[in-house]
Amino acid sequence: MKSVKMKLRRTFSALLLRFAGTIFLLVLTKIILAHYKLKNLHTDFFVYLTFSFIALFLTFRLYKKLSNIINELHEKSLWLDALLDSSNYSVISATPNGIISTFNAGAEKLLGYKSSEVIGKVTPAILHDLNEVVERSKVLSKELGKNIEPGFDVFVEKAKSGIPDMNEWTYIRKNGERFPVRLCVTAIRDSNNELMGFVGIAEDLTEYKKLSATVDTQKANMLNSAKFSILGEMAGGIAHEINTPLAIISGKASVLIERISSEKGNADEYIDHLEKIKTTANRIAKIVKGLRLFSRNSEKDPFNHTSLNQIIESSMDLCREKLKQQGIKLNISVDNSIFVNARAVEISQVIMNLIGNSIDAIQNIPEKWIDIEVFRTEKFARVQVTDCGDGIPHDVAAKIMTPFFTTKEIGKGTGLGLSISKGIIESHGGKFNYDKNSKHTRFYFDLPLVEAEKKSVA
Amino acid sequence: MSLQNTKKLLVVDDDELMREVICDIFSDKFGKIFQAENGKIAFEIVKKENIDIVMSDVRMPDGDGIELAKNLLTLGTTRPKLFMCSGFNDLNPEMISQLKIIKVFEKPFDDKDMIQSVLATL
Repeated sequence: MKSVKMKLRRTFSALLLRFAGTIFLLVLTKIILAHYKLKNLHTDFFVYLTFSFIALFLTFRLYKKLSNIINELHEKSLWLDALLDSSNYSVISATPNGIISTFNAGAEKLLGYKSSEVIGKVTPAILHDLNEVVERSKVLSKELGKNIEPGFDVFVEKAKSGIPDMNEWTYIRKNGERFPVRLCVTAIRDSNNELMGFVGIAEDLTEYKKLSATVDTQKANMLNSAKFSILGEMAGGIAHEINTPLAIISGKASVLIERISSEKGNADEYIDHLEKIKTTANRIAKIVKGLRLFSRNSEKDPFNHTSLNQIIESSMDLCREKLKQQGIKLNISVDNSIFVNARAVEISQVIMNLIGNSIDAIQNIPEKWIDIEVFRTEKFARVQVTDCGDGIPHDVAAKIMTPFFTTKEIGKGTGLGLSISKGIIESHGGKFNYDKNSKHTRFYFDLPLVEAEKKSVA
Repeated sequence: MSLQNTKKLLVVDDDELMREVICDIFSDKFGKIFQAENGKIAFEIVKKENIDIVMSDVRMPDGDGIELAKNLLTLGTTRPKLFMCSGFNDLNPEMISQLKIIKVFEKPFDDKDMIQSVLATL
């Protein structure tokens, strides 16, 4: 647009200059002729004719140039109109005092108004939810440090000062239906920086919102199924872990019955048996509690001030037995003073997932071990899980964090464990990594450290 | 009872309380009861002592019950008789007969059933 305007201006000044030049030449000739008293009608006429031709020729050339520019402009405006109307975005412009001045086909389609119903008649504020406008006026007033009345100013105040203003709003159709949009408002200024009006481009977010809700649900489902897949792997061990104390309780009870009914033993002996029954019942309770905690939907859990040691302990309650049956030696070295702000269940899920991977990977190694270490780095609490395997081949290591990538046989791995773990740790403001420099297979994650004294929020 | 008092039982379980319970159950049925916390130690005891009955857990670190059963087979003797006690049964009938396990008790087990089955083989 700018270039066309410039061309036009240049052409006009050229036209003026040449016209003035012609007049000047004519006058000059007249003066010369008068001076030498050459009042020869013939010469006079000839000179006039020549100059007139030149002037005509030049004017014609300029006219052609001008009409080309006008054509070009017209074509450009057609293109722009088509572009504006073919877009699915609602494009609405308004005058500086807030009266709609353009209303494209996208806006007609989205909002149900005809452009003739709104142009020159109403303010774009009628498309909005009043409550949202009032809310926004409060936020804006606070942000800009001056009172913004809930009205047209709410939409343009920022744009006026050249700040890009992009916000989510609810648009209201002519028939009263509501839908979410992302609206971007820009101020339009002329070459003298004089405010000409505002343009608001809005994108219908209905589908996007639906889609992101679906994605959120799917993500939550995925997280949950990955969690239960780990739990499934540990299930055999957990059953053993519960059945052994049950056998102890029922065995102790039988012994007590037999001792008491045959009047053998004494109170001290009975109490000893009973104490052991009690402790053993607690063993079961602890596992059940761990299971309940772990299987709960933790998605909306608050981040709590938790001892990392405690998280590891409760995770191990669920996989200790599995490790035992696989003949895997577990070494844990923790630092009791390390606290993090975390969703304990999610961190537990990450640890159990790493343990589960290790168990699968080291199956065929004769001397099996897994080390869990917790220590401080400069700013982070690091949890490091190392097993007796000798690392992951480079080409595989490059892909392990990719969702659905698995080297486990079909039906054994979901291919989600590591990518979900990475996601969990990152949502805690930490980092999850495979340590390619370690001699043995090692994964570690860092969580931001918090002070030990801080009490839990929940 | 005097006959049975010369009999020797070996209880193998990594869980100390579990061993204690089985010992309690059989305390007046055997002359001597030995304990081992894993299959390796158990096999050493079997080699030294003239054990009649082995009551072993299946899953244990450092030498599980299956390893112990295989080792017992290498002795080529009819004693000790092997019983197993499992928290999560992963022994199929074929394995049970191959390893010459008399019976597998599922935890939590019925102590009367256990006593009866064991005494029947003495």
